[in-house]
Amino acid sequence: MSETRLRPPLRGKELVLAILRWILIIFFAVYTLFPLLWLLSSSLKTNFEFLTKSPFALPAVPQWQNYTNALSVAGLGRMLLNSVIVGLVATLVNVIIASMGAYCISRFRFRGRESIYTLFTAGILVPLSALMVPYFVIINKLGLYNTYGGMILLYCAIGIPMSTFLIRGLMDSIPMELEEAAYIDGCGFYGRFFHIILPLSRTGIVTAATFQFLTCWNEFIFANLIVSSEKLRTIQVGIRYFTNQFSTDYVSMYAAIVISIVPSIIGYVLFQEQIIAGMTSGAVKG
Amino acid sequence: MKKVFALLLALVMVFTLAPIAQPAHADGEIVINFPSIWVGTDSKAAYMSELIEKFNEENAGSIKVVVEEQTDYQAYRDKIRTTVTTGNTPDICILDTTFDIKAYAESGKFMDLTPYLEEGWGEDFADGAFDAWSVDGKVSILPFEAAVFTPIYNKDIFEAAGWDHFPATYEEFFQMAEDVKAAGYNVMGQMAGENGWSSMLWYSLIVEAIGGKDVYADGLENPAFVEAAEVLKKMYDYTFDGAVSAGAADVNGHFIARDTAIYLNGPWWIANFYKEDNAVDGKLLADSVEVATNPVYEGGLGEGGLVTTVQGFLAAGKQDDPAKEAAVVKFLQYLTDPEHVSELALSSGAMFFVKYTPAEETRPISQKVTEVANNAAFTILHVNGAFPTAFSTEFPSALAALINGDVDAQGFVDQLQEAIDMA
Repeated sequence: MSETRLRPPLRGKELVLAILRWILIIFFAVYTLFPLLWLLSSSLKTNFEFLTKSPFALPAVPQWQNYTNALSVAGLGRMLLNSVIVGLVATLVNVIIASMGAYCISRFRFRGRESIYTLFTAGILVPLSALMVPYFVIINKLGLYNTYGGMILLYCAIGIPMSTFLIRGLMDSIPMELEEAAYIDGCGFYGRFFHIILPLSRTGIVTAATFQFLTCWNEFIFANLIVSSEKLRTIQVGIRYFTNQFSTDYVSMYAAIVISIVPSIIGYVLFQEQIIAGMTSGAVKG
Repeated sequence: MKKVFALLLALVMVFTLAPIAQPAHADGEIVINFPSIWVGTDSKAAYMSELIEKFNEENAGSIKVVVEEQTDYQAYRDKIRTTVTTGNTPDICILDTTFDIKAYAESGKFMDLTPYLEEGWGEDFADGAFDAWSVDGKVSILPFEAAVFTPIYNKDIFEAAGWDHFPATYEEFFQMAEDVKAAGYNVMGQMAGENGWSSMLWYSLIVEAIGGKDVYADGLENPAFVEAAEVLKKMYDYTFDGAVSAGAADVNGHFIARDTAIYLNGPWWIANFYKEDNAVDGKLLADSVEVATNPVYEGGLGEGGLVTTVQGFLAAGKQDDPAKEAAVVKFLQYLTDPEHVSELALSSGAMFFVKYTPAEETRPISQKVTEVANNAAFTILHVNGAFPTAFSTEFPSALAALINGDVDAQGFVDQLQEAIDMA
C-alpha cells in the first residue's frame, strides 16, 4: 500500500511569510520582465499608436514589417554577422589568455603575484570612455584601424580584468592535491593546465566567456571609434541609425533593439546554470 | 589536436587582421575620408549623397570622396575629438558649436584655407562670415550651415483651443497654453534628456526676450538667465509626460503625431513638414503649420530679436601631400558652390552662410522663416553657442535638477556657472 505524503497546509505566521515571499517574487519577476514585454509590444505598434495611445496598450494589429524595416533600412543583417564574428573570436582569445594568466596567479607562489593580480583586475574600475584616446592611438599604431582584428584585440583587452577575476576565483577553489598527484604521475606544466585545471575551471570559464561576449555585443563607443567601414560595423552602431535627433521611426528602432538583444538572451538562457555557479564560486573564493 | 588548434588560430588571425579597406582604387586616385552626420534620415542626406556621387563621377580615377556614415551626433563628436586629439584629423569633417572652434582653429591640425579663399572662393560666402572664427587672420574652419530659431505652431490645434493667432507676449503665451492644455493637447515639446536641445532653444528664446541683444555681455551674471529659468520651468507644466528624460526624437514625434501645438527647431527640419510619411489622412503637416516669432516679454529688452547659430562648420585636416590638399580644397569648393548650396537649401530647408539665390520653388515655410530672419532687429546666438562647451555639457543635468525641484532658478544658473568655472 503506497503512502502519499502531503505537505500540511500552512497556517498563521508561515502562511503570511509564504504570501510575502510570493509577492516579492512576483514583484521582481514583473519588474524584470516588464521592460522586455513593453519593448516587444512597442516594436509591434505603429508610430502613431506609440505616440498617441497609452504606453501600456497592446498593438491593435501587430506590425511585423517593423522588423523587416529594421533589417533592411540599416542593413542590420550584416551588422549582426559582424557582431557574432567579433564577439566569438574576442571571447575565445580572451578566455584563453585570461585562463592562462589566472592559472599562474592562482597556482604559483612568486614575488609580486598579488600586485600583478591587482594590476590585471584594476581595469574593472576604469571607465571605457577614459580609454578612448590611448586605445585609439595603439590600434592606429598597430595598423589595425578599420579591421576585425582591431576590434577583437581591443575587446579582448577590455575583458581581461573581469575574466581573470572570475576564472582565478574558480581556480582557487580547486584543491592543490589534485595537481600535486598529477605532478607525481609525471604530468608537466602544460599537461596540468590543459588536462586538469582547465576542465575543472569550466564553470568559471563559461561565466567569463558569457560576460565577455555580452561586453563585445553591447559595446558601442569603440565599435564606432575604431571602425569607419560600413562593412565592419556591429549591431550597436546599427541601432544608432534609428536614434539620431532627426529620426521619428520609434517602432523600427524598438524592433532593431529586440533583434539585437535576442542573441544575448539566448546565450544567457543556455548558460545560466554555469554562469550562476561561476559567479557563486568567484564570490566565495575570489 | 594541437595542429588543428594552431591552424584555426592562424586562420582567425589572417582573417581578422586583414584591413577592410575601402573599395580598390586605381593607381594615383586620391581618397578623401569624410565622416559625415548628413546621412541616414538627416534632411540634407539625399542631396549630399547625390552631390558626392556626382563629384566622384566627375573626378573618376583622380579623386574619390568616401563618406563614413555617422548617425549618432554624440558618438560623432566623440570620434572627431579623439581623432583630432591623436593627430588623425579626418580629411574633411563637420563641426558644431559644441566643439571649441577657436581652439581647434589655433591647434594647427586643420588646413589653412586662407590662400584659397583669397583667390576668390571667399566671395561665395556671406560678408563677415569668417570674422568670428578666424585666428590671426587665417581661416581654417568654415562656417557653413546657419540656423535661426523661431516657433512653428499647429494652426489646427490652436483653432481647437479657440486661438486664431500666435501670442504676441509671454503673458498671452501662457493664457494660450492654458487653453491648449484644456483642449487636451501638449503645448510644446521639452526635453531634458540627451543634450536638452529643445529646452535649450526655448531657454535661448526666453533669455533673448528678457535680456535683449546684450544679454551675454556679462556672462551668466545678467538676471535675465534666472528669470528665464523660471519661465522655462513653468513651460514644463505644458509639455508631454516624461519630458525630463525625453530626447529630440520624442519632441519631433509628438509634433508629427499632432498632439503638440508648438515646435521649435532649426530650419533644417522644414523638409519633414512636407514628407508624405508624416501626413495624417493625406494632409501634410506643412498644411497645418504656421511660422511665428518669439513673443515679447513684459519689461524685456528683446523685441524684434532672433536667436541664431552656426549649425555646422566645415573643416579639413592638414595635409602633407600638396596633391591631396588640392583635392580636398576642390571638393570643399564643389560642396560650397552657390548652385549646389541652393539645391541643398531647397531639398532640406536648411540655411547657409554661402551666398546663393533661393530656388523659385522654395517651400513656403522656408520662405517665411527667411522673412522672419530678414526682418530681425538684431540676432544673438543660442546659449550653447554663446558660452563655452562646459555650458552645453552641463545644461541637461542642471535642467533636470531644476525641473525635479532639486534646485531653484538661481541654483540652475549657479550650476551652469560652476561648470564653466571648472572647465
